[in-house]
Amino acid sequence: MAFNSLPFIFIFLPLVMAGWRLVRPRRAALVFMTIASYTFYAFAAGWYALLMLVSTTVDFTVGILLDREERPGRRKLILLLSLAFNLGLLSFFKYVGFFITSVNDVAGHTVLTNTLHIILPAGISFYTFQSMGYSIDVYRRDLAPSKSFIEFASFVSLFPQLIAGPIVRPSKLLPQLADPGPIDESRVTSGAMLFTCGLLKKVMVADRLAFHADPILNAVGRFGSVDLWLAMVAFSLQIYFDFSGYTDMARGLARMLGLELTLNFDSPYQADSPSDFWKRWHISLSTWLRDYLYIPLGGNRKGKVRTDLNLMITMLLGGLWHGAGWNFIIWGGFHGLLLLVFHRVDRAWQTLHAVVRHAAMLLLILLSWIPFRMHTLADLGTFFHRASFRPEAPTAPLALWGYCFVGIALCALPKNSNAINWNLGWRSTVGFALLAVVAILHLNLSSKFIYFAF
Amino acid sequence: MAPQSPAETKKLVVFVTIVVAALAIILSANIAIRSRTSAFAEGAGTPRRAGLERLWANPTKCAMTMEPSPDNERPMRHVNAGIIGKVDVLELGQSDADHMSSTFFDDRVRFYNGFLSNSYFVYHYEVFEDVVAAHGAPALVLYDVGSGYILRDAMEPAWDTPGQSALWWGFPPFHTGKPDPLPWYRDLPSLLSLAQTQLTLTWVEHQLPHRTLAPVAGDTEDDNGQQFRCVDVRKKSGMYRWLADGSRVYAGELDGVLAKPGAVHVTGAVGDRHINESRLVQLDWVLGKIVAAGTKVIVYTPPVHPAVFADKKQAPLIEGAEAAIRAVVERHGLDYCGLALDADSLGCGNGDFSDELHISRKCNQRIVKRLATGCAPHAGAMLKDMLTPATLE
Repeated sequence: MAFNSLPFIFIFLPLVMAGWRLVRPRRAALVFMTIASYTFYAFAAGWYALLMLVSTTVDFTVGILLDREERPGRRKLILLLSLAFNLGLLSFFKYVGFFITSVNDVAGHTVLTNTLHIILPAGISFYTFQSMGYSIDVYRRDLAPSKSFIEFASFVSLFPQLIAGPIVRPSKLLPQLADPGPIDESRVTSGAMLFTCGLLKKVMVADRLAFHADPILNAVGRFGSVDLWLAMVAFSLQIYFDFSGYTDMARGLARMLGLELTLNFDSPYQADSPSDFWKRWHISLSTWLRDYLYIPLGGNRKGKVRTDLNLMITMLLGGLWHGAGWNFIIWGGFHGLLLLVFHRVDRAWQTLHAVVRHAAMLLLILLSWIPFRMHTLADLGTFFHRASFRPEAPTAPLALWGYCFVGIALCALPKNSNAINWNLGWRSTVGFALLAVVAILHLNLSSKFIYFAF
Repeated sequence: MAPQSPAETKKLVVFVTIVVAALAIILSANIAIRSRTSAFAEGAGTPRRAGLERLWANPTKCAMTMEPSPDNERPMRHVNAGIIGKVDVLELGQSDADHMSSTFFDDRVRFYNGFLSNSYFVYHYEVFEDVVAAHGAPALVLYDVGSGYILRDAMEPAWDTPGQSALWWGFPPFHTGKPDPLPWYRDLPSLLSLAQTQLTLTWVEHQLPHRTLAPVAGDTEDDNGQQFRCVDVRKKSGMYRWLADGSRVYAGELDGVLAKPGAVHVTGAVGDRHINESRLVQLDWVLGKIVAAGTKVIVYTPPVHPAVFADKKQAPLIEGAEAAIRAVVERHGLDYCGLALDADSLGCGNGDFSDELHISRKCNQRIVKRLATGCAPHAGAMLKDMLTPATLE
């Protein structure tokens, strides 16, 4: 049951909205929300919902223990237990298969046999990071531990952000859950509009781009350079509208419940440098990696070489977070390299004309999406070979050009969905309602969100 | 208590109301019209639909090229049902009824020839059901039941034969006689889809008064081999063409005059030489459904080539088939005219046959005259009132 499905929009959402408003006292409302969120999750992940319950229990207990324990050594040990559990969980479900395949590939024959046939539980990368961030914050004494299990469980499982983020800091969401306050009608309306905006991004732009670009990108060996580059531009737009659409829907849903989630996108394709891009793309992940990985590794406080190393480790792990595959490591490494180079040429870079900076950045981002989209190294090689040396006449449908044009135009708008005041006027409300109808009529063509796979 | 923000509350109510109401209307329309639009989506295809639209935009000048076959003709009938408007007299049956023409009828009578080549009885019912669903039940059905068909082996699918059965010669959208295999509440994603909504709008558009359509490339060419073109009805063509009244013109035919007759296979008119009971069962079923819709029916067996009944071995087989058909028809209290061996008495000579079964427009005119004046005590008078004086001469 994804956000872009009829059962979610017409059954789950109205029931949850009604329950959240009607169930009192607050503690009972949180129980209701937690049950609703677990139900939502069970539709996506089945019995793996129990795994989330275990993870929640572990980190809640860790928070309580850290609060009681004063001895630094013991506190560190407790934190390490939490990290080991969370990272162990993530590694087992996400990376065991990749590890076995990689060992066998390097050896050239079957050294390890994969008999586990593990299925990646939906959203595990997101809720594990969210839950782990809580333990670290409590350890650092940046956050008082939650005293209520149901409050913490509702924080980890809150359905709008559960499966694909944004990764919300406990310091932002826990207080809102502890004291949600009265529901403001203007926020409900604004949330509904933001949700609709996200739905439109997903079904009217991202899915349409994918519909035309996927046949090319799934068979790169059959197409010439123009088609391949066009399809890759389409993918760059698709992934943005897909993920930012999801984020808008998540934020809109939360707002309808009286909660506010973290920003995740801020016109990333308007970035004029690699570091600017990472301030605008998947902000909740990049800031998480910054605060819980890059800075603890030493950040930029231990000299240039160490800074570079920390940056590269962070970006490589950031790439690996997306999935167990060399393509994601290459993607992370490429972005790490861009940041390293950029740090050295920053001053010269800023002297360039803004148009040149933006254009160069768009090209670099486009290049970075190639390994992200090509799932095997063989496909990656084929793409670069054919995209470079096969200047064949384009065969892509005209619609793909059209959707790319629309996508680019939307990316170039001065205001993104975060900056818009979603308390619209009457005309815009009616217009948005009609657009919502059109979006709903597209649902049967809609695909899964790309980031559900991570 | 939540703080009230009346304007925002109203906006939210308006927003939700518009979305829910619009979707409810769309869903209701799609549920109501889906069964009439399946052919638009699947088997019919845009070129066929466009061809039929052009045909109906120029009914006196245009003939639509199309290769004869059930997989071409069934979607054509399905789409046409939404275009042709109210039908007073509907022709059903096999390809030997293909020259039954609206020219036999008075101008105030809407005649449509819904014959289907190589067709099962349930296919005929499909045509009837489509016409009824689009514009209500016709007053009269003229039902051509070929004697040779009843004498031919092979199973006949029933209306509830599973869609995957080979009996259907399955091709979309008619895998089964049931147009809506899923109840609407189990098929919401497709019912609430843009594609289905577009089909509904297309169907609605077809209900509007016909407008003149611009010709498409190839319309004026005679024999470029492409189907669904509108070619000049006054010119000969090497292709099969369909007229606006649903009847067919053979390759080389002009103004109802057939090209030189093809080979006559005497045994082709008597099939496998014994009566196929499964076909009689299906005939019985179809007649029951048509009668239940309040439509009068005249069932007839068209004449076969004189060479067939000249062969003394064949005539008894045909007579046996006619007797079997008559027994089924009379159970429903309907008229039956067995004309299979009446080519001579009708005045249908060798020049009226393109083979042992298929007959000219002139011969069909004589059949209609016979139905109206000689052998249909229940509905004959009604038919007679609908015909032109020239037909009755």
